[in-house]
Amino acid sequence: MLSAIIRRLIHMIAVLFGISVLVFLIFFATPGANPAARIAGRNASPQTIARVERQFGLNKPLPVQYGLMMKKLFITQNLTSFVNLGEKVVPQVFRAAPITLSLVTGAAVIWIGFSVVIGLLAAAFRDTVIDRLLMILSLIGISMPVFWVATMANLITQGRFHHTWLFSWVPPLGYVPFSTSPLGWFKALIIPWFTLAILYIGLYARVLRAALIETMQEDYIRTARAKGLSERQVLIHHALRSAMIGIVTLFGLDFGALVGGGALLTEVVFGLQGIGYLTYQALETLDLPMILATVIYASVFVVMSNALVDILYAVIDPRARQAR
Amino acid sequence: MSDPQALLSVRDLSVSFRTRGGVIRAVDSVSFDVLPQQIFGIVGESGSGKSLTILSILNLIGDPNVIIAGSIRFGDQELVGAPASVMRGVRGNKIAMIFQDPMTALTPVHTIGAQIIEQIRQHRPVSASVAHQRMLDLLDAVGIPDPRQTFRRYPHELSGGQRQRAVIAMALSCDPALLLADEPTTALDVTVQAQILDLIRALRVKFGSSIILITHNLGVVAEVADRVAVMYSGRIIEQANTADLFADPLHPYSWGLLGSMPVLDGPRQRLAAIPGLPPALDNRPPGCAFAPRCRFVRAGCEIAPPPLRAGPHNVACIIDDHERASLRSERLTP
Repeated sequence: MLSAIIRRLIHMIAVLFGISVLVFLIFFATPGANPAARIAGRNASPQTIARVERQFGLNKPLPVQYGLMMKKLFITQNLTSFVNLGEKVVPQVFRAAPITLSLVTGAAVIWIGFSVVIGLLAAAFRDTVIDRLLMILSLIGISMPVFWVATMANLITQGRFHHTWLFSWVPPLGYVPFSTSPLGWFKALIIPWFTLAILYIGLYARVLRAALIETMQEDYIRTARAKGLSERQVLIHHALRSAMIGIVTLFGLDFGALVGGGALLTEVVFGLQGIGYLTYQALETLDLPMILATVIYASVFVVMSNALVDILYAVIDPRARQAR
Repeated sequence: MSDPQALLSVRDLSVSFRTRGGVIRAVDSVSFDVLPQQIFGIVGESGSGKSLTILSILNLIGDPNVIIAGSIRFGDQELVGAPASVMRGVRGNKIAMIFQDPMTALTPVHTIGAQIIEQIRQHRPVSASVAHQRMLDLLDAVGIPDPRQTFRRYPHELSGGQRQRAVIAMALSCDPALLLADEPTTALDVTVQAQILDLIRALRVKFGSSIILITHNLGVVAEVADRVAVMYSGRIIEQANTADLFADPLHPYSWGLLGSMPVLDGPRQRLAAIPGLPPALDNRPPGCAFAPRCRFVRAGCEIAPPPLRAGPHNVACIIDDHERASLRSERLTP
């Protein structure tokens, strides 16, 4: 088990290296584009461009450029933005990361919890009114765009009904660090959590229902019934574990993508200055160093959550433990 | 005609499925008795309804469109139409089942030990440690080497024979009065088959259970069963004590079955095959289902299904005994 984890970590580092090279090449070696002018931002003076060229070693060979870039990102961490002059990029990413992590982790807990319950209920009451109703609700959840849900949530909790007893507890938009006030953190995030989770609840519930129904056709389900177990025991002890494998795969991809900036819309609408928000701003101002940093950061998270998923596989399914 | 001593008494059992094209009857008026400690064999080819027959005993046919009619009495308990809670108390407790394919019959995500303990604690109010000890004893009884290590293994870590032993240990965990074995050796290789059959035979002595053994392998039946029913197209066409059936089969289909068994001693010759195929279930002829393939078919065969002759050796065939003797000798000298 341990050696498998170590192997997975080495594998992860190799993948991250590959991604960093690829991202670097996209930014610095795209034919017909001058990276110095891009980094320097719009309407930069020739002096600024020259400084950028010197700083990033753009007249040196590509491997040296790559090394310099990585050094600025990871070792000296002094990569600076030229759009917001003098603003260091890496500390900004580190400031934004906890906000995004709080948002996405909380939402993930909610969406896994709800989707497992809904998926189990739908599978247990397959083809009845309950099943149909839950699946229609899931479809509605999937169909509602997150920015619209977020705006509606704000409209209700911050606007019209803010002064009623129902929503007077809702704090103004923005983030409250957990270390400042756990309760404030929770209050500030609970509505964004549900908003972000709705889509995934619908999606995961439907996937889990389908997986459960497929698993319920397996021979070992008949064995479990022949043992005299109740339908509930069969569903939860014998079918759910196998059916969760598909969910875990999805989860790794979705979680990584969201932490890496995919929660952009939710962050922007709720004024949470996380990674997505940062990327959004950087894109608006064409702040290349910032975009570079957030892309690398995002890839780290996608790769890490995939590694986590591989470990989770081994926990869920003993057959995956000896693989590779 | 029900035997008062019978442990299980099946009467006029029919299993039908509602389909778009109407109701299809896959098992048709099957009746048999299983006595205490008897090994009752059911033979038939694929699709003859033998698996459905024993699955319906435990009401384990998952299809929502199934209709089970007739009577299955287990002791003084009627199982057809029994509520789910009653069935749960019977399943795994009084009647246990061994499935055909040990590769897929165990839940892959739990250790075999955990799966056996789960069944024990489902039916017996015992502590975890008592259940654990019982599980180890069972694994030992079915011949799993080193149970103290093996119980921690997952199904995929065991060989097919070991898994089938684990499945059998699980089936025996609550001392069931009746064991239903659905082709328990089909998925195993030949040497392991023999071991598992020996085990099943030994278990009858050790645990005192009756066993219904389903197989399409006549050799298996000849070796272990006390009494045999031959099924064809959803009906029992012949039923007798094993020795009688093999010495003196009465139904032309049974002749065909026995004729298709290879003989070790004697001249090598092509195995006789029964020409044709069994009828489709939705298109069964009105008379004897075997009539279209029968070499000895006559006018009366196609009117109505022949009744099962009463007595220790039942047969559903209208050929009378005198004629049968001459037909058989003709069959033996082709």
